[in-house]
Amino acid sequence: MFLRSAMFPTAGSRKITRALFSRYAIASTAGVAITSVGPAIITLSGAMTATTLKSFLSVSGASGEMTHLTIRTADATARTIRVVLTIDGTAYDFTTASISTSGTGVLLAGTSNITNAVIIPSIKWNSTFTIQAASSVTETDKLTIEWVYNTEA
Amino acid sequence: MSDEDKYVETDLGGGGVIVEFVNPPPTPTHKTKGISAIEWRRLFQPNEPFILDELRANIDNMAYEVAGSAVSLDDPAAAINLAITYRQFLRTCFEAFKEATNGGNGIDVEDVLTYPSLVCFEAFGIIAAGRKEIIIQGVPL
Repeated sequence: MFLRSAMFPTAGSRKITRALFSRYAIASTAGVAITSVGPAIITLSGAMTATTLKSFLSVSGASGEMTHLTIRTADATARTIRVVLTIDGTAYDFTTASISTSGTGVLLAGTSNITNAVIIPSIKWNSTFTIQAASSVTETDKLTIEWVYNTEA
Repeated sequence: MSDEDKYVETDLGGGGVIVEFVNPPPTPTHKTKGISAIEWRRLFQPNEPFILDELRANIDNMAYEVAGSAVSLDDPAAAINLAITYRQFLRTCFEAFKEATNGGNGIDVEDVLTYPSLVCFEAFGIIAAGRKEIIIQGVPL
């Protein structure tokens, strides 16, 4: 039997992201050259200690949707980038291969000016969402994080 | 500014909270600390500093009330949820502002006395409703 509720989830039980599948959001990805998109909020990583995760965004008590998320390098130092996205308590955790090209990193949602690009689906959560990242080297402001998101009542 | 200071918390209401790492921090648009006496006066509308001067000068005059105000200086300071009187609270505020602007570090809009003092000024009708939100932003840079 087809249930209408299967098509229209009730409030507070929206479909959330459970996994990300793309070449640029998997373990050992070589990353991709990323260019800023106009509407994105841009944050430099600040002081980071090698292999230590740092929190860049934490949303709690509100559902939302991130339509654009990238993390890229700011210089050519060889480093890996570990990314941990925690969506309603479930962590999505991966580490890139060593990246030694400036402006290269991971594309987790949205798009960039990549040849033959498609739009990576947005990340959706019901109540809590966090973004953490770590570099394999101790450094300051060598990662650039960009995002676009909305929260919902 | 340390990295710890770059975390910005936004209350979404209804229990929702966002904590964002904002780096570089936004360029300040207002001076919020070290505000001099003359800068503080300029945050008010033309007549208001003179009414405040009179209030400050008469804060210990038990016969004095702010002209046209329905609130008495000796009423409990209900507008700021204190049981002491407005007179007691404002006396402390005026002393603190005087100290801050006479050899001190200047007025800080985030000081615990600053916003409540504006709430009191509004309760007495010295400043118009809504003005305190503008004053508390500080001096435009």
